[in-house]
Amino acid sequence: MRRVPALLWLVAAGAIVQLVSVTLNFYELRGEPQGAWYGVPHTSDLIVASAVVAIVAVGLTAAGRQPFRGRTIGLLAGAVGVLAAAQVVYRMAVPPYGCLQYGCGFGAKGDTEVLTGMWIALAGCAVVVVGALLYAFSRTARETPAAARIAGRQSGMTPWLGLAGLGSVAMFVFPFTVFTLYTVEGFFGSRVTQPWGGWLSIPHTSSLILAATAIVVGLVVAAARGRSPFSPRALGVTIGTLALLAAARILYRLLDHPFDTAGGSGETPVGDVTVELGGYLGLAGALLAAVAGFVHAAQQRAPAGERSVAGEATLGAR
Amino acid sequence: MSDSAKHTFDVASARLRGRAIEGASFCAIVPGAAGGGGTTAHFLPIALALAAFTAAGVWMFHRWGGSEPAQVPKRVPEPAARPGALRPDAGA
Repeated sequence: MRRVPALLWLVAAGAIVQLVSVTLNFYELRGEPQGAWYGVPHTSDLIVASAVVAIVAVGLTAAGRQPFRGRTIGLLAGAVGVLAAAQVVYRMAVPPYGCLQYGCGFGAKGDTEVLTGMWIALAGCAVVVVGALLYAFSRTARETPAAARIAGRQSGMTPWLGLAGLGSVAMFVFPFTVFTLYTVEGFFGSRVTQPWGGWLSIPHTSSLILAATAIVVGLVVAAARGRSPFSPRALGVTIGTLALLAAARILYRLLDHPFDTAGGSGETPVGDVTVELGGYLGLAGALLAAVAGFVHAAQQRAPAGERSVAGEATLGAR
Repeated sequence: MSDSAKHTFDVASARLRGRAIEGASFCAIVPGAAGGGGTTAHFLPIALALAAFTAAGVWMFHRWGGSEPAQVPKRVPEPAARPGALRPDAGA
């Protein structure tokens, strides 16, 4: 384990503050405290993503396995931290309670109060950003080369890896973008049938699936460039397992709709909820990615004579 | 509507509105989710998207279907000995 620069310890400390903050209350609405996790779910996810990127960056640098140069590592952690900080600042100025339309302006704050938890989140984001950017432009970062973990055996691109990447994109695009996931009748007595996408109705699931898609596509691109961190068989198993977990999460949300428990009550008046084609296509995409990953793994058994010498290499990234 | 029912309705509706506006604002950061409202249930856009995914899958099999694994050591055949050539282990 290498000596970790003080600025990276600062980044790690900020990341811990970020993780703690999402367990706190962010707002007070008419005397009722509102938590971060369900009050501003995508903002909470972005804070967690920033913390995870920061901790992974510090951990890999400490282990001497950083996939990019020191400066790139610092800039990456800083950029995600800036995104999280900007979103927190926006949500402090325009709390989510107040209007249905996007762009209501600062007058939509209404009788919502911002609590200390949100200031703690902002402080965590600020510490991560300052620490990461100072590290990025430090002499230590400039002199830290990339030392990516690259497996000794590489499969290169295969059609099964391509299908896994394609399926992982489909599992996000169909349920969580412009396509309808649910149609809801009689929601809170409404007489019209409302279409809902997954991005709004199941925000944490959408963030999870987006993360899984990004990881699978990243692994496929790394394999196509001959720089996969895993051996071909482990790569297929990793992709298959990630996609299988994503499929399980989507299936859970196809069976258990979020509408009848809106507001934390099990007695919300809601009529029929119909799962639309977008949901089933998302599930099919996740299953396709899982099958493709496992088929890739099955086809990539190392020849008997090479198993003993197939190790890993540490090569400088371009 | 009783006070408690009205309170439940208010909290539930505020939470849902929170999710709605939250998603809409975050969509400005994630361009792929622009729109985010999930209002496309018509068959034609879904069919077009499916056709695009299918075409991409077929192209992948065409492009990489016959590719060899990279960086796997290949056994290079030794050149056949020419008639009359000295063997490497021939004595001097």
